[in-house]
Amino acid sequence: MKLLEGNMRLIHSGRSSAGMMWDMLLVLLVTSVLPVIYHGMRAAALIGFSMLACLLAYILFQLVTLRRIWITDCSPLITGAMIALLLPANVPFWVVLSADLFAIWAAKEPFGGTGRNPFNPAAAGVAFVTVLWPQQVFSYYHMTTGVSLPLLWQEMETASSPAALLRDGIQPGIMPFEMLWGRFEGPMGATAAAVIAAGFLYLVIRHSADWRAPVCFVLTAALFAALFPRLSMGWDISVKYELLSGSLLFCGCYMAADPCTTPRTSVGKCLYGVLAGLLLMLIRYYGAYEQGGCFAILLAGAFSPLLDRLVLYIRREVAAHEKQQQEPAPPHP
Amino acid sequence: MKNNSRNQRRRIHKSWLRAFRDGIFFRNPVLTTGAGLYFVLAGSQTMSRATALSLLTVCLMLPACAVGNLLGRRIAYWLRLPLALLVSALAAVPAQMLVQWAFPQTTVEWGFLGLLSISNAVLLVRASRYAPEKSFGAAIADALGCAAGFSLLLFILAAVWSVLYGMELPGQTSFSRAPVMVGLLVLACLAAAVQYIQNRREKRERGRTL
Amino acid sequence: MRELGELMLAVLAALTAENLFFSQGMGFDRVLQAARRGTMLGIYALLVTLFSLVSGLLLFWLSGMVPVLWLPLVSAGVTGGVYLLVCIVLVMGAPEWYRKISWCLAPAAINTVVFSIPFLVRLQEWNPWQAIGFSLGTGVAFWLAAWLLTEMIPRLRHISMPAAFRGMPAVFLYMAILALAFLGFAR
Repeated sequence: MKLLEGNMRLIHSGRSSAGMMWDMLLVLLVTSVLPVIYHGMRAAALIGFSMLACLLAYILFQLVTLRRIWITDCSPLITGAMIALLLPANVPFWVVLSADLFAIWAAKEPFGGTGRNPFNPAAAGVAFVTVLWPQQVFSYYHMTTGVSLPLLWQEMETASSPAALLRDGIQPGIMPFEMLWGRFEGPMGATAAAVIAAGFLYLVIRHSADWRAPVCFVLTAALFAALFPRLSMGWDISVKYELLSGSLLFCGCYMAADPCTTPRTSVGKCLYGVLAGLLLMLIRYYGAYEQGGCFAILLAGAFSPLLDRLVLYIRREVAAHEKQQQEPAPPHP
Repeated sequence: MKNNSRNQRRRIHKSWLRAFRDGIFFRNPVLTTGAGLYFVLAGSQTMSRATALSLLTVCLMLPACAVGNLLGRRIAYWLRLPLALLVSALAAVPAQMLVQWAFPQTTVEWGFLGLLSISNAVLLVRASRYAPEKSFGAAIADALGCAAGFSLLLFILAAVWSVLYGMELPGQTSFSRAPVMVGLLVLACLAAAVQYIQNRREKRERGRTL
Repeated sequence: MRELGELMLAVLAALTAENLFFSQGMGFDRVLQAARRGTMLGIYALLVTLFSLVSGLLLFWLSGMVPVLWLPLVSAGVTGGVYLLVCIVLVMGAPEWYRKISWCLAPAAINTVVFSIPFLVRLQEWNPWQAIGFSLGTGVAFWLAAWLLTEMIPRLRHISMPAAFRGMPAVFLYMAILALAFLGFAR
């Protein structure tokens, strides 16, 4: 058994896969700062536990299947951080562990590991625990009671998130501006919109993420919210609440930018963003759960190869048509 | 001369046993090709339902493969599949009555599961493609093996479900919302185990021949 | 939405199972290559829609007269009858076409039987227009799912995967995660 330097391909942005992943990890760690400030050591413990569990699950899988362990592959840490940030701060540790194990052992490593997984592992892990333990995943402790979160789980007073209130057609009692900094009930890392947007900008500037899929994702969701508002306050209020509640921005900016599961073509990425945004809003409006970001990412990821094929087919047809038009007509006999 | 015919008979019986064993495990139709997947997922919710459906599968596969073997080579190729479907549909009514008599306590949605039994890909392909090309004994051995392999999976999944439902899991676990997903995960683990063992066997045999 | 999720799951399960198994005789790779040519897959989906539509309407008409115990026999008979009729018409009237599409006639007919299950479960609650809508939706869902699987299944045999998971186990895992994703719609 050898520990090896990552054998990562260069992709045309000029960045190596390892560099992109370390950037992503940095952004996620910065995103974790506010949850730790709001929720205390429990948030830090959950995030650390999740990252460690994913790493150990990865190492164990590689040992059992007699495969190499890549020391520069920080993708298990990224998966662990994403899973923790998409869950509430008061979620039990065993829920986080279940999500981590499913993400690594069912959604990632059996398909060949980093770069080969057809689905985003963090989205798969969170979707798994959402389906099996919805009560734990959607129960957020009441932040405004002033009671600090204990390190070990205990029964706490819970409150509905803005996403749950929107589902019932009720306007959340928090102003959209206050939602920018994430001090309200929701997934602990997915509520601070300002931090998520800043992190996304950093990734785009560093060429560690492509902007197309996330921007199309958010724009589609916004358009859907504007056309079919769930609140009767006006389309602009509806758009603000829909974008700032739940895990929409987190899934859009970080998960929809995953280079492994999104299409390779630029147009394909845009189509992927539109599809994922549409699916997310459909799940929010008609589906089973108040938040459907992970389910939308999984479904859209399944269509990624198809979208690439469609784009390449259209390009080939257009190129053939143009070539036909440019060729001079054969002379008359 | 007598020894030759005895050895030949022994070889034939061994091949039948191998076909039967392979149908259960190494060439289990569900684990190796995914045939009858929907049937296995839908029919394995409870142990009593799995038992009833196993008996139904055996009662349908045997006549379908037998008729497929006897008549398959005498008719046009494209008629074999409708013949298999017809035989299994005709056998379904007495088979369902037999199962209902044997397991009167079992509540089974016969319309839904009966349809799945008749259109079971394992049954139809085995009866229309495999049975006509083999001897009668081999066709019956294969039919029994596939039916046994099928039933084994039904029982395993039903056992998993009874364990999951019976366990005192924390947090009001909602396994009932995801039967297809849980079933597929279990099948994936079993398929991986079978493939692993098969790979090791092949490696050992290659090592022996070299 | 829930019916959509159930339909997609039925379509995916049937597609993987029935088509992988049916194509063993002709070579799975050849089936995939044939399916990759858009027109072939479109014809396959059209056949599924045709079989679903005719069988669905006939079943709808017959369901009131047939007891539950006989429903599987009737349904299989209807599907078998439609398949035979199509075969006879093509063999006699358009043998060229029969040679071209014979590889997908039988799978299309058998797939229809599996796809009709969500429909059969709700037969008493639906009207004929819903039945027609379901049949048309089956064709579209089939076409989408077939494209999905023909794209993914070759990738699920990659050398970088652990040997025990290459092929069928990875297909099961893939379908499990897809089933999980569809649960987002299931109320």
